Amino acid sequence: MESEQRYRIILENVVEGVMLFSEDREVLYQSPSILKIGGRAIDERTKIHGFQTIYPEDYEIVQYHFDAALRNPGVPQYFQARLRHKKGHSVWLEANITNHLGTMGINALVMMGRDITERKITEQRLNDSEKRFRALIEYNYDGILLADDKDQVVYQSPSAAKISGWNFDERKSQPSLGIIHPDDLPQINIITRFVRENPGKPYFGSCRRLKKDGNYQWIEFTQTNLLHDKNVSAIVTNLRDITDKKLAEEKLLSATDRLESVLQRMGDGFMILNAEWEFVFTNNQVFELFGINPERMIGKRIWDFNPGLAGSLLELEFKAAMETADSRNFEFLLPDKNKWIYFRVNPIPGGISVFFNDITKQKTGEQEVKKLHRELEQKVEDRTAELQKANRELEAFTYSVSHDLRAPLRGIIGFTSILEEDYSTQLDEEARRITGIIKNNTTKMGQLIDDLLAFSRVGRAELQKTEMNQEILVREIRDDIARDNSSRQIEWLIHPLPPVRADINSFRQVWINLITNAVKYSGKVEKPVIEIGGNLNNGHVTYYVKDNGVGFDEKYAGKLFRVFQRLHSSDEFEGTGVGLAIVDKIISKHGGRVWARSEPGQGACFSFSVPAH
Amino acid sequence: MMNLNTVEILLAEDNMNDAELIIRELKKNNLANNLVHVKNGEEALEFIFGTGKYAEIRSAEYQPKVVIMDIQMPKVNGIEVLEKMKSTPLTRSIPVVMLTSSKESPDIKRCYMLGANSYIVKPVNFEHFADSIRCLGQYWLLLNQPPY
Repeated sequence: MESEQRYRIILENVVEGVMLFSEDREVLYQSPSILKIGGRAIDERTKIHGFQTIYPEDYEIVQYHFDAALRNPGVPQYFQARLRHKKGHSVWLEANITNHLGTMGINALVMMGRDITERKITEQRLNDSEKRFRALIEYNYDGILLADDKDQVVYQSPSAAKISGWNFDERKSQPSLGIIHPDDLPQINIITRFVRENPGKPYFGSCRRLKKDGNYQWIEFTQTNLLHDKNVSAIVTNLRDITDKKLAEEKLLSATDRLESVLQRMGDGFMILNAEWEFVFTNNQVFELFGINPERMIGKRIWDFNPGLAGSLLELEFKAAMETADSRNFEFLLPDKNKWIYFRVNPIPGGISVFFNDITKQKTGEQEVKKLHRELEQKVEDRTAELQKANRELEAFTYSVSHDLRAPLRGIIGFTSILEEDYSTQLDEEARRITGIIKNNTTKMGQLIDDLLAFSRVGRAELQKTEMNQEILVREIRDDIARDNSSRQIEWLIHPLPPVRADINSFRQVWINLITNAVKYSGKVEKPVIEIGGNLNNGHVTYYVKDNGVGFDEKYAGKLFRVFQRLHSSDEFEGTGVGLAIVDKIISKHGGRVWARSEPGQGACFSFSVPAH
Repeated sequence: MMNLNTVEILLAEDNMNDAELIIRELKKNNLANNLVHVKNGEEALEFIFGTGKYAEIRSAEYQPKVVIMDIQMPKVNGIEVLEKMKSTPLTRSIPVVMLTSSKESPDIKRCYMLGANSYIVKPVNFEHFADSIRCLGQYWLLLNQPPY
């Protein structure tokens, strides 16, 4: 059979391996190439059953396609399966099997295959690396997004989903970077355009975008247009959530902002100078100081702005602070500006910080106060001097009153007496009555002068307070007065008297005046009774001297204690009207008060009260 | 003219009325036989120290039994005279009675500090005044033993 011979030769020499099977899976023929694929020699051809060489795991696949071929005569069934190489490893075969049982001249199932092991291994390797990359993408902390040329998301990594909260379906309707905060949109639009226009070039950026929970988040991203790369064919976005970082930054920024705004807005001026005397920071108040916009001062030397400062106290103090690292506080009158400035200079690393404020007002106020103070002091001094002078004058006056007024009186009385003595025979009764009146009036005037001086002495005398037993004092005075009035039968009732802290001489005078009055005004009573008592109440002692004498009309009680005011005529009772005024003055000086109760003919009661201590 | 070295009382008083009353009272009691009256402190000093108009006629060796002297006098007052007398050994032992019209005088302490032997406020009342002068004269001239 010539044609059969020809086919055989063809079969024997094709690169593809050829196997012919019977309906019962019996191998009818194996071409040398198929043997070669399996690593076997020609002479081994008959020893191997066809299916034996199939890799056990792929047996089913081959079986499946064999059956399919059986059922579909003439229709080739394509598959890939592994053969077992003679050396034990597997060989990948890309094959097809066709049912040619009914085909004249063949009458078999024909399987043709070629070795694709090498391709398979490459494929496998590719597959592995893709898996690895995918895993890398999937497990990456950064979110990764792929978008098509219409910026429609075609892939988002799980971490990207986690970052935004949106799932893939939801993200598909959003731009690749998400829903951008309106404030950031213009900037993002520019980046997006650049990305499109510059394939392969990565762009970096950050922006706020909407999360699914409704909050905005800060993201930082890298976007690269890899549409042209067949392996990727996408716009690739890497992004991460930097909200926390951004907030921290903002916090930091706002802290700095706040500090700066505090420094700007505080009433005090503030500036920082470095070791080269250049302005590092100035607030707006510095304008007040130098009259120059603070922004123009940064980096410039302080001494260049105001040459007037050279050699001034300010320079000395600033330099001292810079050199000695000691704080300096000082007041300085700004040359040209006529402003007093208070500086507080503190050394800081690499320079000095300076706080200052305008104290011109305080300073002028201070000077005003000082001036007023000086004036006041001067006034006080003047007044004191005036007062001292007045006191001296008063003393001199009383001295001369007492001296110069008394001397003539003495002359009048003296010479009237001489007249009476030496010319007694020439004077008749009327003349002697008249000389008597002259002497009497003159004596009275002497008494008035003495009383008036006593009253003025009370006002000027300083109190020297001591603890005093009033009973002893009162009994002593009573004894003296009783002796002087020994012709009178006076009944004395002296009750226990509380002690008091007072000026003893003044109090002696008070008792003398009151008791003398009591004796005097009870002088016309048959049985005079004088009662003296006192009590201590609420830290005040109250004493009284009561008599059963002539008394007075209470209507005029207020006049009793005034100088030269009397409620009885001298004809009735002798007196100058100074005694009670002295009592009132002394008691007032002790911080107390004096008062009197009486009815005409019912006697009088004089009381006085002073603090016990 | 009396012997100025045997003067018993030197009265220094500028008020002529007072002086008259004093001298009258002393005379009444026979105490004014050897009395010299000077009208101011300057003259008192001249008398006591034998200077001025007394330079030729008086020796400071002989001194009165008492000097009765008003404090308030023109030119040199009584206190100044007292001070000079008491600061000089020759005149320190002369008894000096200071007279004043004033109860208000702040001088009483000063007078005693300077060595005054007595201090008397002249009463206005004539009887009291006369009594005072009489007692004063009798005491210093008759009762008191002078140092010389």
